[in-house]
Amino acid sequence: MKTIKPAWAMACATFLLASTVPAMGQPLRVDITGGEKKTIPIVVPDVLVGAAAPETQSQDLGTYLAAVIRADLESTGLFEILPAAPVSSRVAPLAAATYRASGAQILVSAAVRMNGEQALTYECAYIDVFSGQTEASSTITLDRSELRRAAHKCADIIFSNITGDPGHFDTRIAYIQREGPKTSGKLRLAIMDQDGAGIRPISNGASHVTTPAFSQDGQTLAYSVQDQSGAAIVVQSLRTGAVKRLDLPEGIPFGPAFIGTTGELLVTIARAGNSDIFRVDPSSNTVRALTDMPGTDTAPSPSPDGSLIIFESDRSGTSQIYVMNADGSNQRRITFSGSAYGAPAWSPQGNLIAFTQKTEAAFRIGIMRPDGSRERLLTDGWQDEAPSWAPSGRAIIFQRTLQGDLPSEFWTTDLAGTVRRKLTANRGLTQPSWSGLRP
Amino acid sequence: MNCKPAQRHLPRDKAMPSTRSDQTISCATAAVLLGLLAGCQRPAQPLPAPPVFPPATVSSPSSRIFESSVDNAAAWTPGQSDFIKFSGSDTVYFTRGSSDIDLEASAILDRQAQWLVRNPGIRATLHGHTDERETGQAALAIAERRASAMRRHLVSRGVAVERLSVKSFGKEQPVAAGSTQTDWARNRRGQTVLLPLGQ
Repeated sequence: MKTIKPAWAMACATFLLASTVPAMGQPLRVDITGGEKKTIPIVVPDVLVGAAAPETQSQDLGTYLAAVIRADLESTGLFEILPAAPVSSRVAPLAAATYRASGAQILVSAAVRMNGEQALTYECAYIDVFSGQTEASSTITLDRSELRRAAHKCADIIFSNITGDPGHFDTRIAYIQREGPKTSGKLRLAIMDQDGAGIRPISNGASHVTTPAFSQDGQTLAYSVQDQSGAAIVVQSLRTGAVKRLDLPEGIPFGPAFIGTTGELLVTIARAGNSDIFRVDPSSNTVRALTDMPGTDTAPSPSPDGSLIIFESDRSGTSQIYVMNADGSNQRRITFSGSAYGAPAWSPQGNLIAFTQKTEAAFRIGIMRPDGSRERLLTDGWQDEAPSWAPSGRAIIFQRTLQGDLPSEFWTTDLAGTVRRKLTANRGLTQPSWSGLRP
Repeated sequence: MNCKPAQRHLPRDKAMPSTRSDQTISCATAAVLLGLLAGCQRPAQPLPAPPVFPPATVSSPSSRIFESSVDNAAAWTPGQSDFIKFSGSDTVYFTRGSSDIDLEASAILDRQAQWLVRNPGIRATLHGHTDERETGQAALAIAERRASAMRRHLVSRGVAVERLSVKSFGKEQPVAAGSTQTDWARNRRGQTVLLPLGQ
């Protein structure tokens, strides 16, 4: 047996060590798709402006907003947030030199300025501490009623400059809130910011609402309602408040999904014991059946470019995931592991789909390639379901049901299967739909 | 010694003791007698699990209505209690993932159909439900399939199809909040809800 000489071992080790230390001044590349994750040390000092707002409860606006940025970045698991002393806004934009000793690699300089009575301006800069270079900067101007969005937009700038993918912080979640005990039957459609703030009810709890979907720009909601007038899909503009009930073939429609930014929707209609997927263009009132097999075809999700659609079907005897062309042709099954699958969701990047794997023992969230290969389970709850992608393609929100008479929760996971965060703003949360980045 | 009231050993249709003093006296007597035996008896046997398909009960009509869909909560249909009494139940049950009408469900739906045929002015909605162990959209589809199966059965027994509408609540309106097999069995159901006259 050959023994390794100590000299060779030392040289090997030194070489390996040297090759893993990033060169000074070079942009950092983060690989989260495999192997051990390394966090980036980042500092986001409070830049005090000497003013508060009603929402901040007498906390300095700078402190309030810096906390929002830190929470956003921390939620990704990519960053180590280092502590830093608050500074006055007179010092902004902040200088990298001040933070070299802290060990931070990135400095976020974010300073707010009130712009008259109604608007505020947020100067957001991403500064490389080693080189002192400002890698990106932006002046964000918003109505002061939307001040948290300024912080979220700043976090999106930092995130996208580091990862090359869009961020997912200035986004919202549409969902169904179950009010009271499970048996109360009171369901309310609502929206909230992706960090759980800004909860806003949309429906009044009187009708049975389900399966909400957010449009890509987060400006429009589609959902299913069953009330005195029957069963319908409603499309509602959050900007104008305009509400439209879609004119659909007979049956119970549910599970709308927006097709890109076309305004078209995919919808399931259940009729006489059979459920099929339809493509609907509300502007021209055209409806086209994409599936017509007996049994249940449901839960459609289009690819980002709109050319393909994944869906759930029980035509084989158990729930499995299928893919078809956008016109319904060439329907083929992609899951063959032996378990049942449902609720597929195509990632915004197009290279992955999320799903719920259903077994007797547990429902779990997983991801796989759109051809069904490379399946990986990400969660390990008793009943995790209803995955919805963040627009960054790097996080998935899902519904976690606990055994017994307990309200369900929203959790998010990254693609490594590290469950990062439970939204604690509320409980009894179901059926999440994550919007795209808000313009 | 843990003395449970005597009536819990009786089948449900037997008469129950009506006063607390009766129970106390019989309990005290039992205690004296049994106390003389070596090795005190264990407390009453645990009750068997409730049957998967609960027997028909004539509960107060208004509570049945309030148990049903939210939009029917305020509707008080005069016929509902008579309908339940005649049919045995306004609810039938299903096995996991299935919309098959089994023998027990068939017998109940047959009676429901007879009542509906005899009361031609009244319309009804069939509410389909599932247990929590389905994903959301699959549950909506299965629940609709159950309600449609009930409608098909009622129509085959002579009820005009225009009198029957179908609603699907998926898994969103459970009557049992727990996660046991019994809770799930209670939630996999289809309920026939009479509509107020004029609807």
